[in-house]
Amino acid sequence: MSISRRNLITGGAGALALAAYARSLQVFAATGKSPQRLIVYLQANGIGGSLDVWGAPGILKGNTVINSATKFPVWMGDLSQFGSRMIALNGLHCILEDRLHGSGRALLTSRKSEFSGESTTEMSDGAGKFFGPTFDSLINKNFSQNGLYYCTSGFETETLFSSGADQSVPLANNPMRALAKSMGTQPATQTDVSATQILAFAQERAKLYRQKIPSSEYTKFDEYVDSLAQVAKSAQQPEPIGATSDYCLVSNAQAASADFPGKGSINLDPARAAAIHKLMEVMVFNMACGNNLVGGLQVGRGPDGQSLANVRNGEGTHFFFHDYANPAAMGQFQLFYADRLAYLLWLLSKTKDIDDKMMIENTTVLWMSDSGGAHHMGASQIPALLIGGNLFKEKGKVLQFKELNPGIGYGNEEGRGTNASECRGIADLYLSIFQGFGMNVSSFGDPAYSKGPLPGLV
Amino acid sequence: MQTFHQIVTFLRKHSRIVASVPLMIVLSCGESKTAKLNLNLDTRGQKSVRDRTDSASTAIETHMNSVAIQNGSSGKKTEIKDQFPSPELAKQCDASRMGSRIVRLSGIQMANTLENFISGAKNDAQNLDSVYPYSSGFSTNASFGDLSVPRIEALQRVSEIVAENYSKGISAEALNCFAGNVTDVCFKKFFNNVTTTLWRRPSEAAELKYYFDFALNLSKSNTATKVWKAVVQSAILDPLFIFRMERRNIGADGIEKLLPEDALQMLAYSVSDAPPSEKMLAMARAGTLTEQNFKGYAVQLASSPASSQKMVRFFRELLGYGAASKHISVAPNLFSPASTDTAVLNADELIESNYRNKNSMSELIDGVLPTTTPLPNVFGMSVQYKGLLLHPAFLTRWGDGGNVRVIHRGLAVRRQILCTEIAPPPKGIPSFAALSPTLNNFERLAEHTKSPSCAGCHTYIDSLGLAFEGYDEVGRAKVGFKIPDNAKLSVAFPQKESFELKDVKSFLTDLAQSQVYKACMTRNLEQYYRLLGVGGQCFSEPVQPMAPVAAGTNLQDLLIEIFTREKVAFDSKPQGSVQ
Repeated sequence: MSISRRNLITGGAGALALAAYARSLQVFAATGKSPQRLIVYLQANGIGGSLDVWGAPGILKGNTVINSATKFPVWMGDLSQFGSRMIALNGLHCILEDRLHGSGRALLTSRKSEFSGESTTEMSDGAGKFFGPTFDSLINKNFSQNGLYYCTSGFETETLFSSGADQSVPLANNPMRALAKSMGTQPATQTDVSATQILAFAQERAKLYRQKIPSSEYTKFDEYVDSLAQVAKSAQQPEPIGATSDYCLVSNAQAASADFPGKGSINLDPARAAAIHKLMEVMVFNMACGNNLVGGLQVGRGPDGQSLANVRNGEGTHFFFHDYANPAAMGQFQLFYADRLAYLLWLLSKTKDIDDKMMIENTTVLWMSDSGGAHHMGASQIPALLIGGNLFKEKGKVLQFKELNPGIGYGNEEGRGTNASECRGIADLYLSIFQGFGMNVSSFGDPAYSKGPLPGLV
Repeated sequence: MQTFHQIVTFLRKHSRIVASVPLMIVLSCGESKTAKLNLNLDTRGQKSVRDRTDSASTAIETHMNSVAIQNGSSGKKTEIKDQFPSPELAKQCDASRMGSRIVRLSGIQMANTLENFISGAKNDAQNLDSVYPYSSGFSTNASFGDLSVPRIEALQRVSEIVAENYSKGISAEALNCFAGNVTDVCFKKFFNNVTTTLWRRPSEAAELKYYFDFALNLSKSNTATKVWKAVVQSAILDPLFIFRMERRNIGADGIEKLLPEDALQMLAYSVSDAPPSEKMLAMARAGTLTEQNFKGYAVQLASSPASSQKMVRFFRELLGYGAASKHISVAPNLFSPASTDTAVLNADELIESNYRNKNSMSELIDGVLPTTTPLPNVFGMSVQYKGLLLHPAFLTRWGDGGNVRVIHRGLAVRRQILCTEIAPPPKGIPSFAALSPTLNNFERLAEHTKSPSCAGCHTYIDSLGLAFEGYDEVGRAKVGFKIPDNAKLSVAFPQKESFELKDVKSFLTDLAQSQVYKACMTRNLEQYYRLLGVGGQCFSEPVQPMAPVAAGTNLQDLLIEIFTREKVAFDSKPQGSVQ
């Protein structure tokens, strides 16, 4: 099954920002290029200290780059089918000096106005010094220069899932929210009068005009009336909160899960899986229909253990993500989130982009944890996956970077890390993404630790 | 002043050239050798001329290439109506064409109107020309709506762009219309600036109120700039922009007359594809437009470059030669796409020159056409073409190619120049192409028309196609060619005129001076420019009885005559009810 934009639109499954879509079409038609898109799939509860401890010991050794297309750990589940499109990054570290549990958050709270979001905390040395523009603002600038607005589909599944399905509730800690806001999205009063309103008015005018023409002319005039009605009907989409608003969100995205071939670990928490899937549909369809090029989706929310709350007597996944001694249990939850990510990739592979390629060809999905605070994981063993898209040519690889204090879990992180040449930080991953987008950025974050784009990636 | 090159460039960019068929008389193919003429009254809502032309053409192609066995089926319409048209039909047609009507603007007309509204809008709207290719012409039933969903969508896109550009330059005073104690006074001032151009008239009170209420409501949650943008966008989607009206009143003398304002729009849009001047419209609204003014304006418009462009477009559609490059496969040794394009441009130039210089329209058929585009260089020869029918653009388009083109060529002349409609062939008839390739076209057609079901129609077609057999696709006489002695080539015509075809140049001379050619051209022009008789069978008033066309009549004068013969209520403001 291919999910076309038309189906999407007529099926009421997505937002149609007609003007925005037309604008993006014009831009890409003019350049002849395919769009570059990025989705950040953020697992806020931590995703383990390294790929090794996720239950696949032995597949990654030292600094060796291994083709892992056929050696995915069990928890990869349905993701495995996308192996040839995947680049796994292991052994990155974050760059936050004040790394201890809670202190990063405290910093965020106290300096909130100066940050664009949690993911940018590494822009600070912890002592009030900032290292230049944030990830958000750089991305923003890039897209603005290309004549495209940028906004995100960032949602907190917990909010959607447990608070009466109010999808418009702003997120507290979603970095993509800040990203959207930093794009200078316009308030409603600045948007054009909707096509729906104008077409409805034109229909009323047509009715009045019809009364003034001879009845012998009705046949030819009624074709105009009928066509106007059809165009108006097509324009009657749910009012998008989308491209010119805070969130690219529509209220009636229709779940397409029934067609998803891989069910994976969905039974672990079917309701949550469905909610996540729905959010993914909204995000992907928004990207296909509108002009937003970057999307963010946060799952596994918060340190309060409420993610997958039905697990372990309500404590949820929090416990297990600290329990490195029990990789099987952790792997179970990783499998759940991996399968949800597989669904996202499946959607991308079935949805046409504006250049008529499938979305997965143009969309790079980054799966990682909240890397800035350094309190959800070993700050020196941050894994990340890049899947699909056209930001990076190399695919089907694992890139291993030197770990600091390998195997040491939460509470014992080295934190700021080392300046050893083989040690690379998350900031360099961001830098690689910037350069993948063609942005003229040579350094990111603390210049003392920014060593350029990640080798093997660009 | 636009150069000819600009004109042809414009045409090449904007014209979709298709074969077209002015319909005058319908010949139904029956099994009898004595084919009968019939006039087939179409009614509104039926298939457009374009549709029927296409389907007929397809049917003919199918017919010619078919190997099916004749099933002996025959048409049902076999009666000859040796009148032009029948009194019954004329009565019905008159009834159908009288009274008020609405006419959709073409893409070009919309674009020109928008350009009057805001400079540069024509570029923004240029794709409308391809989406709305014809509001006039043979190729669409343009007096009908012809406003499909894609066309409305296209107009919607253009309206957004134009309105956006408009809103960028809107005055502070207009933006202030929705501030403070809002009344319609300020709105009216600027809204009428909009409608005077887009709708070609100021708004009426009810229209003003409707739009003002709309704008006022929008202003509660939108900036004034956005409100004006929405207003302009709506005005472009409004029927008053898309359609013009031809309202007729019955005057005190009992004669139906066009309202002056509508007559001006009819004239200007039809002849120059653009709205009439503000000055003329103001005169019409004031009731001061006179017959003399109107005719003077017709003369002015007919002599404009825009009118020349339209006349070239008319001939391209009439003779189909714009599509010549698609048919070079019939003579690949003579043509390349480039040389064919040159031939097409040359034909354009001949027509434009003939029209602009007011030369006799007969010259287009039998005159030795002067050329400035160096065709002889292109074809490596020196040929002076006698009329458009021996021009390489026409001969290529309807070229022989050794196959069915001989019939198509005959059909083209019969339909376009003699205004005889030939109904599509019945199904299940022998294939022309399947006949022996060793036979020449005379022999093959003779073989083909042995079948009674074929002979009826082919009697009216084949001679006209075979007459050109002595010339190749670039108009050169074939060395040693001789029409077979036993070939019977002649053109029967219901008006008792007939032409011998053994010498095609003599035929062209006779044709150029004939009443049937001149009447047919009058008919063609009326159909194309005035959208009269669109639908195919209803002849306009001037052709019934056939309007005498003086020798030496030129196209420009003929066009002016067409647009000034209809009664217009010049002497007073409209009275009575609008029908």
